[in-house]
Formats: sequence, structure tokens, C-alpha cells
Amino acid sequence: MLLVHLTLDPPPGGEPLPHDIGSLLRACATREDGLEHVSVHAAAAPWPVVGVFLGRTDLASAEVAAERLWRRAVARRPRLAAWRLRRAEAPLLRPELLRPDGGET
Amino acid sequence: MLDVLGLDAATDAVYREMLAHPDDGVTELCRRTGLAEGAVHTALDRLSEMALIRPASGDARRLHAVRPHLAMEILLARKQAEVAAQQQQLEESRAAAVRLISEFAGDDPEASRDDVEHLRGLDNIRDHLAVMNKAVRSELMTFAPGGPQTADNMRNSRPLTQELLGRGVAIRTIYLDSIRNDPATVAHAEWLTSVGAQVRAVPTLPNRMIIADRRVAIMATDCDDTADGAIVIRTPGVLATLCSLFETTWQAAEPFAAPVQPPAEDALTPQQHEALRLLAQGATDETVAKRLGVSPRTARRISTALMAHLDARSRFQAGVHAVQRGLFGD
Repeated sequence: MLLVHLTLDPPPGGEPLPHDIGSLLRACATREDGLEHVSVHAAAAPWPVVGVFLGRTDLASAEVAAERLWRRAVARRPRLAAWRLRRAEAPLLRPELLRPDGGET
Repeated sequence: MLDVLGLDAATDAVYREMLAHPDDGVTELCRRTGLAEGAVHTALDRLSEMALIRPASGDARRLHAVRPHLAMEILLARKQAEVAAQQQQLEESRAAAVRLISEFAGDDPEASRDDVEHLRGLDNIRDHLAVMNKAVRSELMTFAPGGPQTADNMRNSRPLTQELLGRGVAIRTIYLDSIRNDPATVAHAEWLTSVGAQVRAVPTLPNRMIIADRRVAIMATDCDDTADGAIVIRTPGVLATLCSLFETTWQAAEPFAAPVQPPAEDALTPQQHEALRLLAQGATDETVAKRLGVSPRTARRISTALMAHLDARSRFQAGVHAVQRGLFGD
């Protein structure tokens, strides 16, 4: 299972992400996507982020699937097109970066 | 490990299982961690959040979004995850080995379901081999490098061999060509053939290894010191590879009973050819001796014969002549 972060550019009005974005994505997912979990980080700075956990082990295919899932959600609810998808990328899951000593490389 | 980082126990457990079992989904994570589905989802939220933020340098309270990630960074993170997973696997293997020893009195060699186990020391290896011999049902494939066995060892192995053959287990063993020089070993090999085992020989073998039923392999962790420790492997992909290596070697090996074919006038013996290949790889006479299972003196004799055959007065010239004659293939 891999985590892909969908990083979104909000519309100029600074409108918040629809509160049901998680369930919308779940409803748009196909069996092939292998969507296991959605985490919404609407208040993340500087851009809102939606984390999707996909039942895949190949990074590239997970990123492609996440992006496709977002496109499908936009198709189903055209208003979402106001949020531009900046990127669909697997983030670093590196808890050691939260160490008190920083762990910066 | 992670609790020092301030991760709660559930998130820690979910993270570890995700690293160790990349194929798992939420359902499997629930089963592995014993957590309720809601708790696993909460842990995943926490992990996604952790991937999002990191402390700004100098101020742990201010949080920054992680910058756009370079592919290299992701690869590095993946590598770290792999290392962590391997580390966990190693710990599990150790635990499994301890469990195996404690369970050895029982008759259930399948009690341990781990893919890889490490065995330390000759006693553990012998114990494990005993379990394997008891459990094997259809086939034993063996790489048996090293010099001749002691007469006692060979005699002691006979009842077991007969018992296995009686149970219908097919036995194939590959020795080194060099044991043809040891009359006792030759007699033993002939005995093996007479009772129905198949025996072949090759100039060199990569390591000591036994494969049972194409499902379990046990091999030395150090091919230069086979008594030091062994590794037991049940991973299907690795087993398929090892079986294929065995079959390839078997095809290339000479039946033990048959005399080695006298070399054509211009050809090297398989042993000379192998010595030449090893020398070309930079091996010393000592290494050549070890790999061919002969004494250093014999290895030097093989080298000398090789040089005479190549009409060379120095090793360097021998190398040049060997190349000129195309003896290294492609």
C-alpha cells in the first residue's frame, strides 16, 4: 500500500475544499485503483493536500492511479476543476524528520 | 524504535506492518496489528499528516509543508523503508530460529512459517537437516562441494539414504570432480548409484546447498566456512531460482559412474578449464585449490600442466595464449 499526496491549488477566492471530498473520491474509485483510505488535509499550508492510500507497490503506477482518481472526481463534480492539481506524488514518509534534533540532511 | 519519535503505539504498529508487508491493505493491517478498522484509518491519517509536515529548522513549533520531492529523495525514502523492513525480517528470523530450536523436539517442521531463517553453528545445522530429512517427500537436490568425506560420515549416511529412497524420494547429488581421486568417496558414490541415487560431478560448485521438494533450501552462509552457519529459505521466488541453478549445473555435470571423457587433443580437461577461468578472474592458487576441492600442491600441478598445454613460460603468456585460442568463449 502506498500513500500519494494530491497537492491542490485553491481557487483565487480561497474557498475551502468541499467537506465531502473524501467520500467523493471513495465513490469515484474503481476496484482497479485499490483505494484503501483517504486523508484530507484541507488546512495544510501552503496548499491543501489530499492523501490517498492505494493498494499498490509500484510508485509510478500509484501516482498515475491517484491522478486518474482525481480527474474522475472532477469529471463527476465539475466545480472541483477550480482546484488545480499541482502534483500527485508519493511524499516522504520519514518520521525521523520529526525528531527533536531535526534530522535534516 | 519509533516510539521515541512521539508516534503513538497504533500508528507505530501500522507503519511497521506497512513497511514489512507492502502488499497489505487495510483489512490485512487490521489482522496483523489486531487493531479495529477505525484505529487503522486513524493511524493512516496520522501517517499522511506526518508526511505532510516537518519542523522548520530552528523552530519545532512552526510547521512547513514538505517541499516538492525530488525523485532521488523518494528513492532514498524507499530504500530506508526497505532497510527497515529487512531489519524487521532479520529480527523475526532470529525469533523464528529460537522458536524452531525449542520446537525441535516436536514433529512439526512446518511450525515456523517464516521465509528465511538463520542457523548458527554446526549443531543447529545438523538438527535442521535432520528435520528436513524427516519431512522431505519427493526430492532432494544437493550441491556437495569440498573434498572427500570421512569414511565414517559416508557409512553413517547410508541408512538414511536407503530410508529416503525407500520412501520414494529422488536423490540427486553433485560432487566436485576432484573427489574422483579419493577411492573411498568413489566407492561411496558407486554405492549411491547402485541403490538408486543419482550422482554427478562438476569442476566447481558455488556453495554447499540442499533443496528439499523444491520448497525449502538450506545453504551455507559463508561458502568458505560451511560449518559457520546456514540459511534456510522458503521464499518461492528464491527457490525457483535455486532449482533452476541446480538443473543447469546438473545438465552440465558428468555422470559420476562414467569415466571422464578423455580430452580431445587440443582441448583442456574440465578441471583445467575451470582453473583457467578462476585464474583469469584473479584467483590465487590457494583459491583455485579451495574451489576445485584439491590440495594447493595439486592446484599448482594443474596450473603447471595448464601452462605446458598453453605452451607458455609465464602466467602472463599463458593468459595471452588462452585468449588467442579463444578459450574464454565470449
